[in-house]
Amino acid sequence: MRISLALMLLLLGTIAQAKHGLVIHDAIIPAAPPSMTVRGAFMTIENTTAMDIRITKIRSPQFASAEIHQTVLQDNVYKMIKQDVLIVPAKGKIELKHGGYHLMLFDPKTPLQPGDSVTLVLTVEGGKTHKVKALVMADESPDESLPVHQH
Amino acid sequence: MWKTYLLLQGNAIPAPETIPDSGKLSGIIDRMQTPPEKKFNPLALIGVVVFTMGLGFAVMWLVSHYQHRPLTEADLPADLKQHYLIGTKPVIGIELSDNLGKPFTETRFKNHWTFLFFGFTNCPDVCPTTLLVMKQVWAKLAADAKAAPSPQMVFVSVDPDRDTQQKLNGYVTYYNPDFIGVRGPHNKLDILVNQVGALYGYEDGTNKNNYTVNHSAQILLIDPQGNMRAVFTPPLTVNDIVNTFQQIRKFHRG
Repeated sequence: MRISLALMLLLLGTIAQAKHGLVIHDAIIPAAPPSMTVRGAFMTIENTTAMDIRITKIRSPQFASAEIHQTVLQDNVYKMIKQDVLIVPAKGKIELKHGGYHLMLFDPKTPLQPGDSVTLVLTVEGGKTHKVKALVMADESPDESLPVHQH
Repeated sequence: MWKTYLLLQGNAIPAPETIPDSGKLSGIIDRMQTPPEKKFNPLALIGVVVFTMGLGFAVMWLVSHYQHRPLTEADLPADLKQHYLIGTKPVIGIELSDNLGKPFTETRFKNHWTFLFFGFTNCPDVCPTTLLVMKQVWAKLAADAKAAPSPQMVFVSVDPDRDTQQKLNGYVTYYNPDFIGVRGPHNKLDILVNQVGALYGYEDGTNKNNYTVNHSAQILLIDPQGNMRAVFTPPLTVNDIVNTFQQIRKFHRG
């Protein structure tokens, strides 16, 4: 089971997820308790163009709604701040990972199973959209540390 | 002569019929005039032994008293100083309930070390990560050869409106069936939150249904007497917490 998931992840990663200068890989939805109605999505987004790319909207046909958030640790308080725009720097990248930027997906229309593929639609300023497939993970990644993105 | 002697001694001159015969009298005078023989006195030996024992106990008491004197910062090993809280600060007045619907009061802290941290189940980033870290902390401590009892892991919901008992139960037990979830109305929750120096709040301007809750990042350690004993703040690794906790447990007395 694990091997097939790993292969799927590899496949999704390589298929990329490349369009309009955006290359997205390792898009995952970490394993979570079945009772959770809010899921997080994490990925790496690269910008191969010479101009910053501004992602202004996120949605999924499998969820009621979605938002871009950033976890910030300020004065020892965790804050989850909704972002109106996600800027991917020219010839650079942005990582959506624990303790930093992430996507929040609200209310799955059907319960998610490990191995499911979730379609995410990113809208770039100017109106172009970009589809990403994120893989729902089975096991938690053994994250050995408590995240911190300090301000 | 014996008459004079007896007078000098302050004795009444006995009536003639009570006067001892001269043989006995000379014996008495002889005993009075010769120095007493050097004799082994058991009382003296007992006295010496008792004194020495008394001295021994006094020394032991003093040493023990020194060892159990109130700790100051100077006593802490350097690497514990940033976490360990000196003194007693009991956590009290707690009237919450747990993920199984049972009451959760400060009596739950007695006779256990307790890790306590805050979050809410609609949190897809920080809270799952914290629970995963604590799950690994728990596993490492359980594997400890010295087999000391496992600490309690308590997740306190700062979102009682959405975190029902059932939801909270499904959430914490997903990570470990022994983990405890705690919830309660805001006024009761605030009693716990304020005492341990934490805070929480709702981010302004977000969707009414999809709001997030800002909350303190610290992980509290409560000792088996129910006192706040240590604070852990990120960044933290599983090994940071495991090693520091083991040191604190060894260092802690009382």
